[in-house]
Amino acid sequence: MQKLKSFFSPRKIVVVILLLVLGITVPKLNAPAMSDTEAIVTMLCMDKQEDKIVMSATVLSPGPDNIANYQVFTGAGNTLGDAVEATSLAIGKEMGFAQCEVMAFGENLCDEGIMDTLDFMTRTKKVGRNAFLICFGGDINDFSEALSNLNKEKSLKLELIMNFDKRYILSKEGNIESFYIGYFNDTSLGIMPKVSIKNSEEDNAIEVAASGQTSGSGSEQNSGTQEKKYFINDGSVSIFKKGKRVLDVSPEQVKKINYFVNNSQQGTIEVQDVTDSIYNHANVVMDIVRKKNKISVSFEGNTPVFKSNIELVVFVEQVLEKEPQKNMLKRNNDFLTPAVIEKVKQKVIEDMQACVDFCRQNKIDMLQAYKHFSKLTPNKFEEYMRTTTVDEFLSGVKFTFDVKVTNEY
Amino acid sequence: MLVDAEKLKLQIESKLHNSSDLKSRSVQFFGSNCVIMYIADITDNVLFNQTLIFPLMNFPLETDESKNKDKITLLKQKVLLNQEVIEYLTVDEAISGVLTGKTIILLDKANKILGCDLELITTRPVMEPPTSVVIKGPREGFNESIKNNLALIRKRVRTPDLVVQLMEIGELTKTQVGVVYFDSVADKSIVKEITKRLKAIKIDGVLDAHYLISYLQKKPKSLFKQIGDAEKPDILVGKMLEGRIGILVDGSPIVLTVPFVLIEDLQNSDDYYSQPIRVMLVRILRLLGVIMAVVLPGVYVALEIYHYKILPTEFLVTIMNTTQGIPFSPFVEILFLVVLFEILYEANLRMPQYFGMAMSIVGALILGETTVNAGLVSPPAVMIVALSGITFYIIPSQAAQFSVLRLCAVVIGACLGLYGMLIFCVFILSYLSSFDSYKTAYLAPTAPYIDNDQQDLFKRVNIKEMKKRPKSIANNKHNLTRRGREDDDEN
Amino acid sequence: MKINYRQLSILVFMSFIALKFLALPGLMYVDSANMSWLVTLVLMIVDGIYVFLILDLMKKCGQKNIFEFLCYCLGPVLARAFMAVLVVKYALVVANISKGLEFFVVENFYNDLKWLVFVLPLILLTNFMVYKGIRNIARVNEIIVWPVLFGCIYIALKSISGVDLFNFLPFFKDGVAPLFSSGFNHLSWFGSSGFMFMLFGKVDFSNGKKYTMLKYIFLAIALTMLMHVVFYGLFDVTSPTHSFCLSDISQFSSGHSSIDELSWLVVSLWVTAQAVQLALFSFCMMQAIKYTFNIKNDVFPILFVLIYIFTWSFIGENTVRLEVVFLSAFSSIITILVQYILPIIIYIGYAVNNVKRKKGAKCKS
Repeated sequence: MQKLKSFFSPRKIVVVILLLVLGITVPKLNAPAMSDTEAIVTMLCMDKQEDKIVMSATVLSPGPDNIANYQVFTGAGNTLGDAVEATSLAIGKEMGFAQCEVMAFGENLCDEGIMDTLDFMTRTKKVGRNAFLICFGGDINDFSEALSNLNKEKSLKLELIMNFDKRYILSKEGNIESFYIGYFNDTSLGIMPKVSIKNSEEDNAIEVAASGQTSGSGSEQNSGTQEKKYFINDGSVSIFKKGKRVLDVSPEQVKKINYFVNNSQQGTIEVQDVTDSIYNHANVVMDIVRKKNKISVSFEGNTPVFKSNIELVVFVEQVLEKEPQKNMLKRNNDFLTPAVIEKVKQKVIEDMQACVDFCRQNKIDMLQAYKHFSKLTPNKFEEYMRTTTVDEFLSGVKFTFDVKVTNEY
Repeated sequence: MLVDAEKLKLQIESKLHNSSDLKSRSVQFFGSNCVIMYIADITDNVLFNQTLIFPLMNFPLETDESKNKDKITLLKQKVLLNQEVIEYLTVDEAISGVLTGKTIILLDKANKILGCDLELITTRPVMEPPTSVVIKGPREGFNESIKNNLALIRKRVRTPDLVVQLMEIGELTKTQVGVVYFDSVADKSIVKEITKRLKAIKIDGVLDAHYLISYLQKKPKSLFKQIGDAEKPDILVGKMLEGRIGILVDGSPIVLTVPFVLIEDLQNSDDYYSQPIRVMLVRILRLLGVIMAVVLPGVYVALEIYHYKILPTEFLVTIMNTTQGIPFSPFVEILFLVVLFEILYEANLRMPQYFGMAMSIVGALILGETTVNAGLVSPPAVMIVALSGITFYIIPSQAAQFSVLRLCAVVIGACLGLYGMLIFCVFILSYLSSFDSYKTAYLAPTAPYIDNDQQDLFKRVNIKEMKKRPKSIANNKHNLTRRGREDDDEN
Repeated sequence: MKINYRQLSILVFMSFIALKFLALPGLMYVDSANMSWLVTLVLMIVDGIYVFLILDLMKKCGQKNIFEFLCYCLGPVLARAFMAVLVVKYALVVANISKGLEFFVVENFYNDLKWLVFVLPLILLTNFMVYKGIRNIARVNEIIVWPVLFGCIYIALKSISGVDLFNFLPFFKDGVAPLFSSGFNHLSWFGSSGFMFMLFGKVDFSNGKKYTMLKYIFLAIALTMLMHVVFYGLFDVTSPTHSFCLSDISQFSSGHSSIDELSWLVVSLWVTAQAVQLALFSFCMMQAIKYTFNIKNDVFPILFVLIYIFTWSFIGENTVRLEVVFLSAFSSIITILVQYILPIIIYIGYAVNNVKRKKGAKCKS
């Protein structure tokens, strides 16, 4: 026993294990840097073309100085796994998705549904759940090319643009996690920013970022085109229901929906034909400095009531007036006259009502009414939902709006 | 004894193998032959002439008083002008005296041999030690003479509480070793243990204080330092006031202190002469520096080989751009730089001073720049190793340990990645936590946490508020309140 | 080799939070949805109360170890039986921590890490720490406790702005029944203070401050609640898809970039804290084996524990899903037995024994 005890002494155990560990891991001493053996994917675009999944990966590659250099590689396959494999073959390395900050989906894929793709990418390929999601229109190669060129300009990273967009677009975060949260909720709604690409010869209004030549990385996929490509981000969003794209919402509509969303803090309001002691048929443009929408829900009998009390703090930015009145100097004391406030109230209520109509018409609960009712009045709402469906429930809800407008100062 | 002085002289000369530097001189004293023996090179000639030869030669041949007295007593009481006159009863004792710089006087038919301390102290002047430089504070440092060092301590401590225990260690060198402590503050059992350990040392010679370390350490094979040191009297006295015991060795400017806690090296004498807030900041920086010095190269290798995904994309771009085309693996690259740094350090340390500057230029500029330009190593790797190398010397007394740990960290980082590094760190922490030497926990007052001693850990409270001696150090627990502090309570 | 009261309190704190910041909140959401935080809170409070109960027993037992004390209270047969149950309890916790740690490390730090490369260094560390004893484990805990505490608070506070308090509504939507079933199903993640049994006779209470333990228990509960509230507030319905509360929260704490550097530091610190916890429960398991089988030396029990950890890593790699074992009724029953019934039985046994002895003394006199 004593011999056995000394044979298994803790010191010996330590030495044996240490030797084992060293034996197993010694080959790693000569291992190259992981960034040499793995392609670092920073952006991933996917679409469906002719029944095949087309994948376009923007890969970080070494370059001179400290400027990021990107190459775009494309692969296609019948399944997502095949597409990943084909793209890996094109790159010549295994793809690493840990640094993937953007996942973009083409319209075709969005229409078919993206949940299985998202699941595959997050669970199997370990794409971070904080990666941005974008829906794009147009050709996948053009899009990924414009994106990679955009990233070359540090100040115009897509990530930064999307962060800026958070204030305008309706989605809470615009990343995979928030998409999942939307999907797994009862209404199964998901939101994605919508962007598109236009060529230089086409006239376009909003230019967010312009790229020069294509990346010229030497990869087969990005050779050929020499036109400048414009990345169009006008603030429109795509709405997904049960993981499938159901409709696109225009920027104007998004602005209206934003009245219900406290996260989006910025925007402008324009009221027309204001006439009082200091304005003469003027169009007044105001910046929304702060916004708070206190939403309360209740039941009047069996009718659910959604009350929205919105408080707007505005700052008058511009007054467009053909014939200014003489006492316009008084404006310096207070631009926000009762007439302007009244017009603003009218305008906001109109917009909110239009937004409600839009949601009812398209059977999408962008106002998060379902969430409010189910959280704040769960029992009555459950009773109410027995008489209707998730798609139709908005038509039975009564909406009331109250607007309070104050000047910033 | 009671033999002729000449015979005794021959006996001593023979025992010292007729060593050439052993000199003797015969004079007459009261009609008796008197032989003076000394070792020329360690005897002060001026003192020799003034305090020994001159009085001997000028003493009246016979007086009434001298007739009735023993010659040895007469010599001691009336002739010799030295501070201290020693009486040796045996020849061996006298020989030991001669070897330690004493001049001995042999008298015919005398039963004793007299010895006078005329030792010539040849030592460096009191200078500021290179590793304990202060901006504001005392600049006196110990030198190689134990007498001088004791004098420096005595100069600062004028209390009967200070105890100095001298002993000789080394069969051949007979080096003087002194144990110093405050009687009312130090833990007596530790004093006893130290003296016991010192007395038990069987060694040819002790050339420096570091010879004693392995005899005093509880775990002699351990990499980590277990015995503290001080190069300045103010530091030593400060440590002794906390209950530590100092061990001085003749021939060494380093004074060993026991017990030792790791945090001691994070503290600097400058800290006690600066603003407390500044001290707190500096101590935190020192700790961060230590951690950086040890783990940074290992973490870099681990990140490169296993964990690029941890890095932010912008940083990854920089790394990728600068490491492209490097022919070596990250591990070999860092190892190459670490070894290069160690070689440069060794060369720089031993090179004549006038070469030092040239060496720094060659090392830092030419080698660093050209290896990067040649594409052998990447700039981040150079930066990491250089940073780690510089931060070593935030705590110079631990630099040797850190350099070994750094090398281990690099290997572990390459083999196991960050997980291995984390396990390595816990292992080190656990190992250090298990160290208890001289009744003192190595990581005290952090582990175990001692509330009282937090006053001088990262934050250093005002001297006025430091009323208690540290509890983490084994000292006299019945005398923890610093003297003179009780009255302050009333203020 | 005794530890002090403060060290014991820190051990309790660390063991309270040890299993709570990885898979638990996600798993609980399946059963008790948005009321999971309440289940955690209640069970932690119960655990806290039991800590004081065990503490009282500890003080009563004096210098005796748990086996001697159980022998005194219940007799040697029952004592040995309880020791065997404790071995099972500790074995479950050891497996839970080691597998949790493995998943956490592999998922967060590596693309691919061989199980052998993971488990060998861990065994090495565990062997060393268990061999060095409880004082060593307590001291290491003392060092890492504050960085872990402040790190977790940092991560939680950084993400707190994204918390949607609506996620916690409505209260008790499905009644209280799911909460009970959730509590029962996840009991094995609680009752961590069971390690205290193995510290009977090893704690020096002489210099302990009165409220130290209460302070650390309160801190542990507050920190756990903070983390869980932030977790559910951020993830709501997607909570079950998140396996690592701590690192997943930090992923969303820095806007849209990946986890920030300081959060990585905290995540790394958590790995070290878990490794120390593994050592603590391995120590307890080793002690329990010693008492159960009346083994005098430490070598074989330590060896057994190491082989056990190694085997778990190997089995878990190939077949068994951890949740299947830990969510089983078996592990919950073991926890109830060890954590909630055993202290009461000891109390009763102690009281009965005392009465008997007093009567015996009176008869003699």
